[in-house]
Amino acid sequence: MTDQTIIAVVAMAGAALTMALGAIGAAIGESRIGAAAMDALARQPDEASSITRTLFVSLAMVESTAIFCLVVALILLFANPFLSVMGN
Amino acid sequence: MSPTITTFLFEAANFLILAGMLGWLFFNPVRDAIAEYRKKFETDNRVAAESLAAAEEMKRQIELERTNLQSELNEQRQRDREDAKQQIQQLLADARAAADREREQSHRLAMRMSETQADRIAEVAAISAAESVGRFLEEIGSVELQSAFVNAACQQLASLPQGKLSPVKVESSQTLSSEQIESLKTALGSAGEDADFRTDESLRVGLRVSTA
Amino acid sequence: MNLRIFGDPVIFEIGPVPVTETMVTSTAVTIALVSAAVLLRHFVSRQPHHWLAIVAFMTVDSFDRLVEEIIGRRHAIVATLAGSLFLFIAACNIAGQLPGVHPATGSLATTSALAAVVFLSVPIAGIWTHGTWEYVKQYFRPNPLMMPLHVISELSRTLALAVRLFGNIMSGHLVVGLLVALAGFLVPTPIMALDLLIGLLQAYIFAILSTVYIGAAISAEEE
Repeated sequence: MTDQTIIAVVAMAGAALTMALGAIGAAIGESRIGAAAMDALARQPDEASSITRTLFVSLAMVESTAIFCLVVALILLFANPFLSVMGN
Repeated sequence: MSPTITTFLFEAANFLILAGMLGWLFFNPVRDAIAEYRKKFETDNRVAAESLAAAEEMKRQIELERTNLQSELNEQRQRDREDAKQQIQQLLADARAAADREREQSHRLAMRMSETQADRIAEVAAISAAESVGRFLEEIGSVELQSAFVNAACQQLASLPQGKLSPVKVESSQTLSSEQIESLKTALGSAGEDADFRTDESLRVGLRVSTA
Repeated sequence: MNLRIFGDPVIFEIGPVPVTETMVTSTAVTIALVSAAVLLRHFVSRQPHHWLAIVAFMTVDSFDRLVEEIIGRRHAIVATLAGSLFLFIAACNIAGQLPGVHPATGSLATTSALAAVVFLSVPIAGIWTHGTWEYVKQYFRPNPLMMPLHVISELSRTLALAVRLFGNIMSGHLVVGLLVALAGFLVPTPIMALDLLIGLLQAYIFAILSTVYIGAAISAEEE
């Protein structure tokens, strides 16, 4: 097994692990945000517009952690700097 | 030059230019327009509020005036009504008095008329009756008639209850004979003792017996 | 299968300067936005009761009110910056739904440039409002040991700003590209609708977050 192959295998495994763990964290966070928003909506239906806006913003911000993981996984898979370094 | 660096710099410059253009061409003019509109609305609102206040004031005055007029009118109407009532009563009283007077007059006239008529009728009747009786009596003859009257009177007196007749007054047209006086006294009974016999020329025929 | 993730093809070169596809797309978006702005402004000044003028009023007023809600007072420059950010990003994201167009915000260079603009706007706004000395002193608040943390926080939130936008748009585009390659016609339509929603949402979030960052620098002294 060449170094190239080892790096490729490790990169794939790392990308998969990154996506999995990042998705878990984002999923838990988003579920908590949704539950809290439901609670707030039930308590104060008058504030529905403000709560909904904050809910979307919070969801997008938490979602962005999963997006970071996706970006890192994509970097590992498609733009891996070590592959090109070792390749050279 | 690396394409990534170029893109980065170009995008930054592009965005700054875009923001400047949008701010210059779009945001600031529209913001000014909004502020202008807001100011215009505020002015309009103030003007509208002022006109509303003026209108309210005018309405209040008109209301007051109307109330005054209303009360005045009511008073006037009341006064007119009372006047009319008085007039009506006056008229009624006048009319009633006139009617009374008229009625009185017509009553009197009618009375007079009926009196004169009755008098005339009675006179005519009496005259005609007297004439007819006189003619009749002349035909019959007077002495027998006198005795016949006396007999009839005696019969009538006999049928009356005795003792309550005195004082008795007997009037006759011609002097009664002694037999006739006697028979009358008998018929009168106890009352016949102090009976008053007299001759009355106003009676043309017959005799009149007045009892108590 | 032509999946573009980090690459940016150079279309042509002007002398030594390479012109990439992203630059062309964003220039087109900029020209379209400025034309729309000129059109709306024409309606605002000539026919203030036309519905396009009403749209312009509502747009500007909503950004003003957004900034007022976040900062606590009206601020024309920040509102203009936030509005331009939102309009540019939203226009780029929507333009990315057109066939054959790769969205300008799906390139890390573009989002980094936007994030750098926001990153530089924060100290400029702070110094503009409070003066240099007062602004620099804020980094040493509650105590001087916090200074590296402040700097790291500013850098990381700029990085997060850039990567969040890039990741969302790029991944949405990537998923649509994969679905088109694997399943074909009409299957990616729901994902494209979701992309539209996410694109607008990310534009809104980018505008709000930059307003929050700049607003924190502006109103830090007042707290």
